[in-house]
Amino acid sequence: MTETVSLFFYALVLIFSFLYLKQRCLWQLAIVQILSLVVISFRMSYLLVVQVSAFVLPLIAFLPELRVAFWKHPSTVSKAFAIKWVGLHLSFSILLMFVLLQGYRQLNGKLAGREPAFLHNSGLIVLTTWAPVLKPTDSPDPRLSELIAKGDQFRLNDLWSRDGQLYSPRGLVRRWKQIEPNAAISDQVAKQAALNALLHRPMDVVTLGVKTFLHYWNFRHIRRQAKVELRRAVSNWPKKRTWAVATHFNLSPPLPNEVKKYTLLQRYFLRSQPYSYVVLLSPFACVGLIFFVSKGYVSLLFLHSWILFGTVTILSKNVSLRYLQPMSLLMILIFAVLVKAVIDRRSRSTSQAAP
Amino acid sequence: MGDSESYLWTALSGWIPPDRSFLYGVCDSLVIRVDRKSDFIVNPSGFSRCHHVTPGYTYLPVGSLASPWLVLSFRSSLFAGPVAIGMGALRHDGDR
Repeated sequence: MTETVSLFFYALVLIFSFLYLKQRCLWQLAIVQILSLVVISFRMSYLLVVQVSAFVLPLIAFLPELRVAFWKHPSTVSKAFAIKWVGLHLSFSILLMFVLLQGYRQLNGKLAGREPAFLHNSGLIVLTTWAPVLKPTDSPDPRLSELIAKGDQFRLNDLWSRDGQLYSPRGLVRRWKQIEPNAAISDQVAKQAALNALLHRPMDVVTLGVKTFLHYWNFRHIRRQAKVELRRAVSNWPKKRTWAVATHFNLSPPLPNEVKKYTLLQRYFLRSQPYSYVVLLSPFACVGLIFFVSKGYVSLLFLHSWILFGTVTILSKNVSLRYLQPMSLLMILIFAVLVKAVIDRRSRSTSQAAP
Repeated sequence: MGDSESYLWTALSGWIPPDRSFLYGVCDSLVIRVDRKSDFIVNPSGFSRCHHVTPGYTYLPVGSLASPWLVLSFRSSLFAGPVAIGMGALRHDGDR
């Protein structure tokens, strides 16, 4: 699905990012930005990585020059040189990102027949993701404040009903949309309320993320969730739109005995659960790595792995092995760097020991 | 049908999902336009065809993909082999 397709383009983004760190050519930076746009066009969960990278990638590339100019041997010439090149690459990167992302927003708005936006539900998504920490004072609209105040009636504080708050007919979003039917206004108010919650109580939001992370260690729940996702294909049948899609392709629901069977890849997916914990913990391995290997690509891996880790914890309503897929590629790269660091260290100590 | 339904609905109706990116659905619509009968993108949804198809029909595209092997080098074949087997497994499994 989109995870797989976007992962392919994300791999290309990483390749060109590493190339840029090595050769520092503007055309490589441009390709990184264009590929990043393709990635978010498939999967919006990469948006933070893309935006932060546009700012940080040129800084990482010119970090050696910046170190020399501002810390090791500060001089007017070296400072001017560093500022000139960093300024050029940074402004190019930010400008290009701004143009491409604005283009995406415009196109998405035009296709949907609505105002420009990355997603037209983003405010509601964030609101429900942080629903357990919401307070009536967070909302700029008194009607939403009143709804949040009555949250006990529909389990607003329950950490694991967040998905339901977004999609369930009795959830926060449906109730809010009944009060404010204008989609743009309801989303805007929701976004503002969520941002206020983050600004007023950032630690509460971080705590939510920590709880989400800890829930990954509930092995039974994770396995059950994986099975639910595999079975979701048939659990919703029949819905009106599902009928329309199924009729178009001349499809019928699978037979009951077929539903119970797991296919080869489904069994592989379920049995890969232990491996996914290596993926989940890989950002922590990267923390250790950044102290031992002072290379630009390690900083980039560190940045990407922690942003994606934040996305699957702080910006996720649920826990799922699927969400870890972007981190799986980074995990392989992190462990490759780790192995290389160990080999380099050994060969260095061997050459020093030799007469 | 889960997420697949959303993307297929984009392909069929032009509806843009408010909670996910649109490009996958647009790509689906292009695939449907190119080959309206192809079940390649539908199989991941977990549904099955109403009519019975013969295994020969199902694996025909994989077989036609495999025919260029005859002129490929050994190294390329090493790469193309797992790709074809993977595609065959996906088509057979109807997996996500």
